[in-house]
Amino acid sequence: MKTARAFLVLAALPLVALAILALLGARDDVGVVMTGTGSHALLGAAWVVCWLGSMTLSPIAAGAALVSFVLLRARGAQAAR
Amino acid sequence: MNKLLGAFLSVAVSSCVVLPTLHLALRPSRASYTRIDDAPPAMARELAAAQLAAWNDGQRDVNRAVNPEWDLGHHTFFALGLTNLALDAKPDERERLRVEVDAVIAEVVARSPRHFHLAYFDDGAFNGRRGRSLFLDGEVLLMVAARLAVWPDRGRDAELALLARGVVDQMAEAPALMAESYPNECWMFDNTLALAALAVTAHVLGHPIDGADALTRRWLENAPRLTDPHTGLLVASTTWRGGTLDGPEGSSAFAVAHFLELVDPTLARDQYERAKRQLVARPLGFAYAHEWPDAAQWGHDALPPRAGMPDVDSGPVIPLVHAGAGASGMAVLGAAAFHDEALLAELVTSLELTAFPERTNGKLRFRASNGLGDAVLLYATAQGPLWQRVRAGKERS
Repeated sequence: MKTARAFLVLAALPLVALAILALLGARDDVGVVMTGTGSHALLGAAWVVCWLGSMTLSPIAAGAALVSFVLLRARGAQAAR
Repeated sequence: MNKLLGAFLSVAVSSCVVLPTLHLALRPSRASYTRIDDAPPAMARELAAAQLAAWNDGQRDVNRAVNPEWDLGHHTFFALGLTNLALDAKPDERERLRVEVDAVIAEVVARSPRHFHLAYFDDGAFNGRRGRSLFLDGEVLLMVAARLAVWPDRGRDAELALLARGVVDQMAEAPALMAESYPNECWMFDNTLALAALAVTAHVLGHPIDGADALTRRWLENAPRLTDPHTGLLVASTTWRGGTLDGPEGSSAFAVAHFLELVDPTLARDQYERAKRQLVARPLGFAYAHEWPDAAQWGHDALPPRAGMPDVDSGPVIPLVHAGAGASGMAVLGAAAFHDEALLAELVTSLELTAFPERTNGKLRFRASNGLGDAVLLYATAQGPLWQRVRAGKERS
């Protein structure tokens, strides 16, 4: 159960970071990263990383949580038999 | 240890399901990126709406400090995108677009050539007698010709003929029929665009400019000498005498193939297929383009002089996967122009993941792009009707 919970936290992390960055207006600075100029390149870069993380790592982690939960249940059922 | 193995197994199983299916969640509907029932794709309409609003708000969204050439490219692709949309539009909308296209062209011709060029424009003298940049003159010719192809105006035929005459003279006098855009620097993009512009001009005037057909014929005969023998792709830039400066590049090859459609459809298709084979990667339902072909193909031969050097045309090249921003944008144009719907779908899916689309009130812009990138995508998704009209005219004559 602990593993499944850890995966769920991992899945939520990029999404939470993305929400915080959105509040900071980082989405507006994505273009700055592409041209390499401007004072907010770091904020824009953080947005890019968190966006890609939330689009790829979050679903993988959520899926892993589901799989580990199923494995745990299967193991539990086996032990009960 | 069992726990660790379980966690590893969970990630592996999840990855095996999520990664190959991720593109399905991101892929836009077919109608958003391809023409259905002869109507422009939704993406073209949304991009046009955003860019028209920005234009009329005085925004040009190109960082001239990084590259002033982007400014001209932005104007050209924006104007060409609108002319294509106008061919599908109702009369009142078409008239509104004419006003916008005229304003875009007026803004370009009001500027000095220096305005749209990098600083080395002034380093040395042009070899050509006219001392003009084909980058500027070719794009102006194409915009004016496209404008008159959609909204004919006999009163402007002389102006168009004069522009075309200049382009023919400039290319015809060059030893390799490659006119300069900078002193001793001739770009394949500019030269093939100019040949396409001459074809649109002939369509508008009802006859070719004197010498234009002969120039096109000679240029095509000379094309093998401008082709990289390792890839079969036309090189990206040459000296005035035809020596290679830049080998094949993704930011050039797909657009070159598109321009050649009006000049030699067989060569155009061949160049597109080669560019796709040499430059496109298609992982897991996504796609992107490399800026350069795999250097391994050169074997022991020397690479082209400026091989592997990112520049202002290539845009940022993402390390490890070597995805080129400029090349990938132009690949959208290539896939759309050559009706390669499978690749087009994968490329636009990649845009959804990595270009940060922002849709508000029927307007679309890509956060990771700039004015030029968005204008290229507008043209890529809107193009078709103008080329079709010119080709139909050619077949009739």
